[in-house]
Amino acid sequence: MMINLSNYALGHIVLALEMSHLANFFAVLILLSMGTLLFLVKNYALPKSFYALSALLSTSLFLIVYAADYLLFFIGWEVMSITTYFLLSFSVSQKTLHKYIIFAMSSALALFIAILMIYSTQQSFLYSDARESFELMGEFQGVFFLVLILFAIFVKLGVIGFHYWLVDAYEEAHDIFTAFLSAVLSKMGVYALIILVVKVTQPMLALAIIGVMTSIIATFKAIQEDSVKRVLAYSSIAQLGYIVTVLGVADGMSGALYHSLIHTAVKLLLFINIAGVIYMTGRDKFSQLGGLIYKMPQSFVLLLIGIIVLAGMPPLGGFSSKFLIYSALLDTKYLLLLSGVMFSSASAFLYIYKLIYGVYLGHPSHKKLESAKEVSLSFLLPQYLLAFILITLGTFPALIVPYINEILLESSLTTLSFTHAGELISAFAQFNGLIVMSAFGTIFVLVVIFFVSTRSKAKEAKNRFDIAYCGEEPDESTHLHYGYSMGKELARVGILRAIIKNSSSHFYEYLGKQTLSFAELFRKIYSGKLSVNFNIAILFLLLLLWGSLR
Amino acid sequence: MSSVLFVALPLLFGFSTPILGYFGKNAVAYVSTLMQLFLLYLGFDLLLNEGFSIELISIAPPLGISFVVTKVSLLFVLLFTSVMTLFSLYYLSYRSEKPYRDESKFFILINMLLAASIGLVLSSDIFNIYVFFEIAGISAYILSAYEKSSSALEAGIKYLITGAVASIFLIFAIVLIYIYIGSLNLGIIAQHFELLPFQIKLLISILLLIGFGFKVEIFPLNFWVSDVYQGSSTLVNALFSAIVVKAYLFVFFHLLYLFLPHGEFSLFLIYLGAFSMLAAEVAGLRQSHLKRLFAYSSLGQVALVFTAFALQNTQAIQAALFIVLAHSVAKMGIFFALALIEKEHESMESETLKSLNSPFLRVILLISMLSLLGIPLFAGFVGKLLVLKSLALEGMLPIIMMIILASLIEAVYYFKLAGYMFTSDKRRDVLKVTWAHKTILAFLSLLLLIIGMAPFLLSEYLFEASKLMLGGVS
Amino acid sequence: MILLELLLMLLVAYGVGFLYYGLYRNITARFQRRFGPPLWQSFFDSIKFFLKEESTSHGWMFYLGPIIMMSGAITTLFFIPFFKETTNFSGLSSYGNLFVVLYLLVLGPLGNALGVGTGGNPFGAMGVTRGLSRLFALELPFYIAVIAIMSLSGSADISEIAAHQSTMYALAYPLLFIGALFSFIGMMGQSPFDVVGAPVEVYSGPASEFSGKFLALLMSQSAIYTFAKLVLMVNLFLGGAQGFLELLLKTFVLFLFVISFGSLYGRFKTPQSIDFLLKVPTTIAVIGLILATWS
Repeated sequence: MMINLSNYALGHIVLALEMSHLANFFAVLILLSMGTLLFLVKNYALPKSFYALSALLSTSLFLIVYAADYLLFFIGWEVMSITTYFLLSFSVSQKTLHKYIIFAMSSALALFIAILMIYSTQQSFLYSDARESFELMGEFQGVFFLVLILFAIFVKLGVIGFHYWLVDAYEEAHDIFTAFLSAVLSKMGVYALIILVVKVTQPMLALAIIGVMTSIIATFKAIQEDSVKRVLAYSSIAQLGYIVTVLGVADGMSGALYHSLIHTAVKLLLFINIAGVIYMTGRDKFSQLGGLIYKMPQSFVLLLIGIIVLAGMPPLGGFSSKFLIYSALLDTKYLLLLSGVMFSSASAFLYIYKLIYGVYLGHPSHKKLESAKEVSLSFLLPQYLLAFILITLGTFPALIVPYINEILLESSLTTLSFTHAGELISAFAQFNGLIVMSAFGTIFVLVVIFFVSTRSKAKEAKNRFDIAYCGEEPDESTHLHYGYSMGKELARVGILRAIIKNSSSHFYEYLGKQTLSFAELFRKIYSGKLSVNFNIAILFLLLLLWGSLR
Repeated sequence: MSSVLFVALPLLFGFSTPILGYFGKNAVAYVSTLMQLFLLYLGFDLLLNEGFSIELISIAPPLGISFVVTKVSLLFVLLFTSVMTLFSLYYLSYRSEKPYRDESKFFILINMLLAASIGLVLSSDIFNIYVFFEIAGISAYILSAYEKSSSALEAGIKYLITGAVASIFLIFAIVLIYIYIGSLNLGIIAQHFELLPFQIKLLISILLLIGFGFKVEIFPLNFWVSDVYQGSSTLVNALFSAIVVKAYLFVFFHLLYLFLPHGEFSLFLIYLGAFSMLAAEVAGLRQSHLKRLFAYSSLGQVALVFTAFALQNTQAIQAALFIVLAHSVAKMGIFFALALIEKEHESMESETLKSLNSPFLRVILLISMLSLLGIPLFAGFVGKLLVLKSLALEGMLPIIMMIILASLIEAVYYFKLAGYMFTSDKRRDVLKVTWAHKTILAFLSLLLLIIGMAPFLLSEYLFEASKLMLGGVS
Repeated sequence: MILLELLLMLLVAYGVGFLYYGLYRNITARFQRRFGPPLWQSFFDSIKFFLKEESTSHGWMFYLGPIIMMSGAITTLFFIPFFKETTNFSGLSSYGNLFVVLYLLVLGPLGNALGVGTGGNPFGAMGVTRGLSRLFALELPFYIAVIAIMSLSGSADISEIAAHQSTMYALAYPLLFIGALFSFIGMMGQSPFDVVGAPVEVYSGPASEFSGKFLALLMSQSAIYTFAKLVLMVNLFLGGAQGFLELLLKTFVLFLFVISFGSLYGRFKTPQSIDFLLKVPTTIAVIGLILATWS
């Protein structure tokens, strides 16, 4: 659909909307998130304005997705940023909110400059002209254009160095909204990256390197955190790092799309799960949780599925997308990058285990936790749905391949081969999810049967202190919730300390301080002393005369 | 004949105030408002019947009065009359609680201000322009010093001094023009201006730039603005930023387009405008007094309009007109709302907003600020987009970046205010807003939204207007 | 037919695994100037533990830990072909690839970590923590080497990688092999990277809360995992095998090397081992990768 604004004397502006397969894919992600999160709202007393803003936010997201020109995209992007601000304002502290908006506005305005640059070459905002416009730009302009666009996108994705706002915002936002932020808003960054960068330029190695660095650093930052939501926030950054990496190489689109879907589903699952835990216990730190497994068994199993996916383990869906990412990197021979991705993926096991251990396993850190109960169905249902999707995608990894192929065709990229839903075939290798799943499942069942049939009567532990403890008897005063701080000792390793201890916050705080003192200087010019001001004006006048007469 | 009424009626009202005073206190207020409503009716009547005209009243050549009503001047006339009418309507409800002292004088002043601003826009005679320049100045000085406080006095004196300096430069320019061309009519001057020696042209241009530079609040001649805004009463600030500065802006660029149709100083003025915007927004960053803060924001917006006009092409002028409208409406909303807040809280520090307990006022302030920022869906966006688009087509990337940077800084302090309004707990009682105030404020915000979402309602008219303005019909 | 083959694979792994375990105990004993237990002692121990009853249980997740570990070990085994250039004893390997195996290798231990965590024993959690903290550093050189050989062989299929080696990769690309070998020593739970289950410091680590049948399962899976890992290593670096004899020979040589190495060195603390692994073997592997693929 096209609207030509020059009919209304508004200059050469053509607005366009288009239903491409790619757009539909991301629209499905938005719908999935909205659908699942809607289950939760009745547990919270949310003000009406929350719903209104959410509706506006969703509208802006659909505008971003279905826009076929930069202007509508930008409008959607900016409305998204602003509505996010107000949705955050329900629970977030002023400092975090301010941090968020400065970054969000910088992002939006950088995007604004970029789209104006692309407009200036061909007087068109349309995507269809973008590639040509980009090629028409000079070299310097082209690089500058990419820098602006990438800055805008990196802020939204929270790529390391640009994530200063993100973690605090995720932690403090309303539990439902955090899930939405991680599941959907970050995906808009991915979509923007595909539409504005990947489709316009050649594959960029720099992008892939940034992605790998992001995922490694974010993983180690996640390991250090005590707050559950902060860990998940960093984990989001790391997962998006994989997507950025794979978008930086040729033929990486399939992996990026697959991983976007998986990440959306799994982050929804995890955040809803944690929202349930926080709802039930009112605690959101590993050090204050623990031992909830038999109080909330269904939640535990669902989280377990979530973390297996997050870890990218076969036989669940997480492996399918990781497999495509690895294959793409291997196929393009970026072997060190692949090592980096696999390294970060292996490091992630630590915080992934902490997620389930710190919350559900070990000893309850407080007596109050023993009265916790299973959360209501409104929390569990969406999680079951998501878990079902993730298990299905593990068993039938190629289920969505025909659909992804449509998207790839539309962007004239090489498609994936497809035999049947169980077998995922990448450019480099293939695996049969159905066989992996059924092999593991069968063996598991057999071992269980074997074990149960020979089972003798083990006595249940009398209470939670009934453990082997070097012959001592632990009691309330003994610190038994060990391990919630696992990973802290990594800071003692020289190489890792550099990653863990450094932070971009110093830089931004310095920048803020300098800007303010610069502003103070200008304010002094406007001091209100007429004599000073007239002197400045006369000086200006003389300069002007001198300049004009030369 | 009707175009003269726009100037004559408000002035006539001023002279008849002593008589009206006999009919009681309220008579002045109501008659003034009715008169303004009538002017508004006249304006729309002209617009609908396309009554564009030229009126000449010869007094003693070369002195005379000539008024030109075109699409573009009519636009400004309508803007000023509407602003003034809304102001009066708003004040009618406001005065029952906190009237200005010596009200009848106040009404004389605002009507003089209206007459002078309209006169500035309609005149096509440079001496008339000088006369209205002075009338507008004098009424503005008194208005800014109207409240009995030291800051008001400071404001008045500063305004007076800078205004006096400005008019010296202007009169010099006019004298030079008359000496060299021998006419005061803009059309005749425009025809001969090009033939003048270069130095004289330059001298006249610089004198005009400085004379008007004070009035159109351009760096570094805008130092007085924040003090004037701080000292003046909050409601009057709405008039300053919605009427006075807009009238001067129009006249300055009207003259510029007539005298220098080939854009000799265009680039310089563009840089000047963009730099002014940046300077104003940076200075605003550390500001905690709300009225001063919005003064800086006005400086920024006016500088943006200045940049757009300076581009000297139809599209940019159209954009400038969009911003003029959006800015006037938004600033009215802001200052009207701030006036209520000031009355209740008796403080204009930005921290005051933390305890503002009125969802309605919060939303009004928010919408106005978002529009000023140029957020999509609000009126400010259309203008900003069109300006930046024109700049992009000219390939002026550095200017775009300066403007965007300024917008970013603007966003930082606006959102600080938004943060104050929307995050802290409210301990005060709910601030009650009368229905009349509510209607007017809601109307203003709605206007911002309508222009923002349906710019095509106005765009064709504005495009025609900008063509006329650039073509220099006088 | 395939089921029979899988069963045979399992039996071979089980038997050879325990045989190697017995050998390990004997050989280390010789290193320490003493006589070890009888060769099949560990096997008999595991049978005995199966018949014992568990002293304490901590609920169903506690049971599931060792069970997942065992299932993980068996699944891993099935996805690793024993021989190259034949479909005999290739198990399910044609349905998976090296990436699947790499992940399956950690699936079991992670599953067990859950059981350990449920037990609520701080010593168990301590062992798990140490294991996980060390895991990424341990895997890195191995991953780098494996990525390099996948790229060199142009395939992620294990039997194809084995068949692709005209001279075995260990000789053709020694740096890659050395890097991977460091990781392998850690993966086999040998010194200097064996702080996870260190019997003295952490009261036997992850296994501290398990008794009876749990322990039997843990011992059995350890035997199977050991053999699976050895076969994988042989396939990847030592040119694979064409018959049982070659397979046993190659795995035994590798095994002997690993345990000898383990007997000779003391134990690193967790941060020390991470530091070492990230510095020395990783550098070696990276250099190896660059040399191997530079063209």
